[in-house]
Amino acid sequence: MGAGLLLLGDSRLPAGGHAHSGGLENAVARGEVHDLDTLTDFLLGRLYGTGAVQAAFAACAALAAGPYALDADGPWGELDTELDARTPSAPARASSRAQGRSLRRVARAAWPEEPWTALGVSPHHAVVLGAAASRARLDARGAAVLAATNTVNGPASAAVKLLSFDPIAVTVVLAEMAGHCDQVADEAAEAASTVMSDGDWDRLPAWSSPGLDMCAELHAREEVVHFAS
Amino acid sequence: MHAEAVIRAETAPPRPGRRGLGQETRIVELRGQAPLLPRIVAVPGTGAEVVLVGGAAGPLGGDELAVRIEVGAGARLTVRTAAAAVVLPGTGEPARQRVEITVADGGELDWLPEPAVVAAGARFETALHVTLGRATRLLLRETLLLGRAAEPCGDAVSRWDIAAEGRPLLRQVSAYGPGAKPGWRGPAGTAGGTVVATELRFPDIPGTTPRLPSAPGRAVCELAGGGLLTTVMATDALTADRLLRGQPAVSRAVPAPSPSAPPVPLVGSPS
Repeated sequence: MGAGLLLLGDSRLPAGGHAHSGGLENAVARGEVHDLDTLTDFLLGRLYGTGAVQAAFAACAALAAGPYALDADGPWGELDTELDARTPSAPARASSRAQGRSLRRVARAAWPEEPWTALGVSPHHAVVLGAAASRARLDARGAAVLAATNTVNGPASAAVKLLSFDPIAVTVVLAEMAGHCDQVADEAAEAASTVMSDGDWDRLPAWSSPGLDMCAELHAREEVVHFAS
Repeated sequence: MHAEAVIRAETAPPRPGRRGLGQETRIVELRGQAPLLPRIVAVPGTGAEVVLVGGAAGPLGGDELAVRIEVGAGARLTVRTAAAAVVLPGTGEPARQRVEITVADGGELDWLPEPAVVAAGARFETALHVTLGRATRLLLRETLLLGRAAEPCGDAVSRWDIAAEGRPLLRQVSAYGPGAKPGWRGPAGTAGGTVVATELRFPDIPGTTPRLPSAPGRAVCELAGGGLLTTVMATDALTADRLLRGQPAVSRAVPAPSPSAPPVPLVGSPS
């Protein structure tokens, strides 16, 4: 696993991730997250819920993209529909697609020869991330690691801004999260390789995150917010 | 204990003297074994209703229960259970329940089981598979209570796989309890809730049913494929029920971080 992981995992990648709190802003607004313990609990639930789903879809997309060139005939439509079916909240789907578009803009600039439009009009973030990961010479597990860490890193840095946490203390939380991210990525990569060989889409992880659905829906009803999601 | 119940409904021409009401729904197959005993209930109108009566305690750990419901083209069926189920540890294996639903073109189904209470130490695995044809209508409800009053949570894993016209509408696996992954009860999970009720209305036709807004303890989600999924999370069944029905909550859905949260009154306000 090489520099590609650091490239796509870098929070300075201009793909708009900094504008999203992944539901944390609403959880903070309602007092659900107010200290490092409740932040840890939020991040763990997010990682093992939607994080596991995003990681599996990123891994699938990396496999679907193929090792040499982005496969325009890959199962992009199926991945889109299946991820929609696992994302009940409309604002959460919109945020996933907005981040997907931003990341695709970066990926298209970096690898202009690839058929990025094959991914769909407005692809989900995890799918673009997986396809970009394969272009950055990462395997399916690398793509899963990116997606898993992405689901906790964004909210964690949002927590620093929203709750004025000590950035070092939040980094300690993220360090504790690393082992969990690896575990989620292992399971995601394994599920993805099974599903991509037999086509049984219902075997891809579908963990629910009811609290996050609630955060996404309530956040979308707020008039004044700091983060897009 | 292994048990299976089968309920099959189809349309039939109206009986003499009931003309003008259109096609009637008849139950054409009805069988089961304890603890899944289906009974036909007389209801007004042209639809049919079946109640599953619990013919034994449980489900107990190690039980394998299966319910198959088939709604023929144009038929209208409601299936309920007579009482809440209390899942008990039994052999230590999970108690498994599988509900397989098919609704043919133009059919309508309400699947409205009473809550499942998962006792401390028990494990409950439930799977709901739904296949819908064209122009169908569906109402599904599931209520899981993790633990009886004042006892620790049992473990529950609930899987919903719903497809309409060959496309996946909702795929969702929810795991709650001490055996679930870390953070299951945190702000991204049940937000402190130990009672989780889930309802799916498909299709979601604006104006036909009063739509509740999302609120603390209640997520109301418009699915990409055109249904409305409502999930409520609470610490007691009364509050969960009120959140789901849109009645004013008598207590906070989720305990506030401050110790000043109002206690749950024993008697609710009139509904």
